[in-house]
Amino acid sequence: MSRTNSLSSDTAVSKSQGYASDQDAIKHQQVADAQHEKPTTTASPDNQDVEKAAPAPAGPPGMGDFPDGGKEAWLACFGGWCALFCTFGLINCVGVFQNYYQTVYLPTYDSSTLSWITSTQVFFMVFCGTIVSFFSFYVYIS
Amino acid sequence: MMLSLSNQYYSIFLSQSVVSSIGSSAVFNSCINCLSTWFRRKSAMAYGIMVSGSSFGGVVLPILMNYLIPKYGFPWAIRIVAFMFLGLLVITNLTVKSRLPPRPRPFVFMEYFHSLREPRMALTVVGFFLFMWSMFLPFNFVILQARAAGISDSLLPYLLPILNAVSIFGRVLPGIAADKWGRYNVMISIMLLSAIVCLAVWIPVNNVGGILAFVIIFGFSSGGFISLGPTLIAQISEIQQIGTRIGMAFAVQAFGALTGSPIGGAIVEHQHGQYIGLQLFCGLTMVAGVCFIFAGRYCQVGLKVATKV
Repeated sequence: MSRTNSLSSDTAVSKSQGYASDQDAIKHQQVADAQHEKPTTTASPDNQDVEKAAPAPAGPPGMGDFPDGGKEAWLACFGGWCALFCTFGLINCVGVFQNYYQTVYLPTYDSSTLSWITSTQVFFMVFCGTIVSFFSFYVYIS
Repeated sequence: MMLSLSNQYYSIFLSQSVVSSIGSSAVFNSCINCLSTWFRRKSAMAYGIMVSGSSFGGVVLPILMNYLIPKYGFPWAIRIVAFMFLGLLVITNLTVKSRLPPRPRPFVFMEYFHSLREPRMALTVVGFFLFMWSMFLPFNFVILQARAAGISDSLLPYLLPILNAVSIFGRVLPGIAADKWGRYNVMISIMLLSAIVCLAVWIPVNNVGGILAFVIIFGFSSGGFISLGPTLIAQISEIQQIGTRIGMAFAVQAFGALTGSPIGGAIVEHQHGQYIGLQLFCGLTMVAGVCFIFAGRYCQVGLKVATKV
């Protein structure tokens, strides 16, 4: 079919351009298009339509080639571990703060008033997640 | 840092509760979102490893703070912890990056509320709210309650580390079980377990054994709730709605976390230092949460028990 032929010529074009795979080529093509730059391939309009149409069944760009490993991915995992150690780890020890404030540091306040400190901390952590996730939306784990 | 300079209620409130938690939220959500760009098949494992960092923090930080505060005083203890965080977050800044460019979406505020028209979604979210109302009560008050029950001071600092250490397993094992037996089924079992242990162990048994048993079992079940929560929402949503719906569910749960502990504290004050009211509130709210999640399950499969949901 003409579509298959266009795809194979696509692959030839993308490989000649030095991309690792035609998925990468398609991803770069779409990022370039989104930035309103002239596309770097010399493909015909028919090929461009196919390039733009091709990822649609496969999903958003880059969706197909998750590394699922490798140095950078596991380093990112370790960095996330450190980040969660600091952020959520502090949430997990709100009891220490509650205990300390109630017995030593702010003994004049009652238990309920002091628990507003730690519960507001938890609240902002969880609630702002909604807002922050909106701005950093890539792909969601299902 | 600001917390270390604070000794008034308002300054502690502003520095610890408002500012540091907004920043922490930005850090932790960005890391979770970036991780999801690297892993697909192994995403559960990578996510589990990353989330175990929070449990490790919950184990190390209480013991660390309990050691540092008597030795150096609260301000310097907080500063030392802050410098440690600085070092770790430098590592995070250097290693965490996203593989994909962000895809801006138009912000539709009503999107967040449309999903509540579905009965199973509304019931699930209410169930999560109720459970979250009570989930942070043990985190906040178990040390104080154990002290009031006469537990020795040498064991008190280790209650939260034990709870968090067990929750490492609680985050991983229920996830594996949920893939096998159904997410709603496992979630209902976990929530029921924590409600039962709260009502049947925390309230009547006031010695070391009882409190330790409560801490261990509750640690396991709270870890399970945290890790399974988003997966339940994901199960009943279309794939492009998942992010919005999980965000909405988290926002509702956040109000539960916000108001639950002050309510518990007020109950304790009203009972002049007795913790029975708080424990009852905790356990019974969890039972109510279980009922709503069960209703959410009923919307999907009715009363059939042996169905994987």
